[in-house]
Amino acid sequence: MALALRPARVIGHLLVLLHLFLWNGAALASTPELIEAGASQNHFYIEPSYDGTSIALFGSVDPALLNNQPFDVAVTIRGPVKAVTVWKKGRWAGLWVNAQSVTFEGVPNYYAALSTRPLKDIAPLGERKAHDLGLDALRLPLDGEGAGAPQEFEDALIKLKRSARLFVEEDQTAIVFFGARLFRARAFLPPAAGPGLYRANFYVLQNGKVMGEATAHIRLNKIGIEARLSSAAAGHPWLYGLLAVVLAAAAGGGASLIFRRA
Amino acid sequence: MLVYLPIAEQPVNALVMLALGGAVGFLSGMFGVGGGFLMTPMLIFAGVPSAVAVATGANPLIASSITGTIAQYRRRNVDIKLGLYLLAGGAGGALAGVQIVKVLRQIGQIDLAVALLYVVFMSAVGGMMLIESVRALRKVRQGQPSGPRRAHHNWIQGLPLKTRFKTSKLYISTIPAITLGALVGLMSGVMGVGGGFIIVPILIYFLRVPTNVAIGTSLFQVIFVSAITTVLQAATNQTVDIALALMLMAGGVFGAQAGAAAGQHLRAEQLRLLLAILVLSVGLRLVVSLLAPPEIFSVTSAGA
Repeated sequence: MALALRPARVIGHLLVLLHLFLWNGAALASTPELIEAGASQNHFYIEPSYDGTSIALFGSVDPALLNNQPFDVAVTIRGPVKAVTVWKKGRWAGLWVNAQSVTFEGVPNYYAALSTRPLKDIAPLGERKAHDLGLDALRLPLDGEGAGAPQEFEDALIKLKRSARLFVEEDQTAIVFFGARLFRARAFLPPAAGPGLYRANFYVLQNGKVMGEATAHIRLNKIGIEARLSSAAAGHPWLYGLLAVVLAAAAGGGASLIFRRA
Repeated sequence: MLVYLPIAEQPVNALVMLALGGAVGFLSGMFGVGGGFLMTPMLIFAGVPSAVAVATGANPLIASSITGTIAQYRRRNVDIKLGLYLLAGGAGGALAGVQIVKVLRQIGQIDLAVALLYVVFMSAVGGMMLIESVRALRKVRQGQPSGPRRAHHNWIQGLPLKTRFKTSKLYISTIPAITLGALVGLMSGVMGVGGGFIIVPILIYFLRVPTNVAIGTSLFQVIFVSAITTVLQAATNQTVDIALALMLMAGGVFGAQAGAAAGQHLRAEQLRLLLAILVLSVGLRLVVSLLAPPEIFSVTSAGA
């Protein structure tokens, strides 16, 4: 299986991709696309040894369409969106118990904002909010009941996600240019990011404004035994439970046979 | 060596899980309890999500309690009739327990409920065993006969619906056996434990079942309670992780044999004292987390 964890494979992929991009460069120049996006690998697989994966995304910018003036590039990557409840503990009879909760409708389980410079230096907050560019600009809609909830719940959510490396902001080395047009954005998906569809939005910014954008997708799937077990657990829960019991009974019975002889 | 768990959706260190299974198995072989009361909190300390830890905790107990029951049965220490009465209550209790977990998770109090139950039961059982075993050890030192004192009468002897339990050499009511079974089944569903650490002392101290028979009978009923709990958890919460359970079992079956061998070198009172200290220290660790949580905020997500 072609897996991202094998370095030789990864380098091979990158070389192939570089070739493709450089080759296409001439053809792309005739179209009015300001920015284009792609991934070195669109499918990643979770097998038993999976411990997160690094992903490489490629983009190309046409400086001629930006009047050859300085510009910036930013890439956001967002993973499977879920409803998330944030709980705040309070004192109750001397114990700390979950007392208040706020539910956010759609929170990406993984979010990364990669950029060539600190985002706040690239564009003002208002412009970035329109594109969810940066953790301070990420819109996290509340559910109906949560309207007017204190800001501390959103701050806590972002803080917890950051400490789990599930929310990331990186403006130093994540984006590397090869020449004037082609660039690579790299991010690490920690194992807790989980399977699902990931969307990468590419932005080119100039004078504090988004001038153009492009999108690429990456899919992370369980494969083999991981996929079979989790689909059995969800699809045939009773049978799955019986299987768990039978396996354990066999292990226990087998062990007594072995140790009786010994 | 990291292994990605398909249901927990995170990697764990397989060697750590083998060692954890082995350590719990060692204790269960030594003390004759299933070890679930240690397994579930240890899994949570190791970073396994609590929903998966509670649901999966009961699964490896099936393996270790089958091994234990077979060994005890050969020594005629299993009172099958008493075990069946315990089970009659246990099945109903487990069914209710799994439903309670579902509700508790929705209102965000599952961690609190599990921690509180552990603290209450562990301090009660641990404290009782500590006092009793220290007394017994003192008596041994003074040259008196050891073992828990057997009173001729208590209120349990006055209950109706009496029946004879041959292996336990008892003629008592079936009501306490069924009630005790239901209580343990309920705990098994909520806490992911087989309940041996509760059932053994109650059988010994309240029903006056001989210690060896209490251990053997408890192991017998733990097989079925943990099997029922595993199936119900899989069906209701879909959080049983077979990959995790297999790692724990692989360590557990070897640990149980080593523990049983080690247990023969220690006196019964010393074993009970050690178990009491162990139970109390796990309980204490949980009290600390309730009194001084490391983080005020926590996050739960509504499924995939």
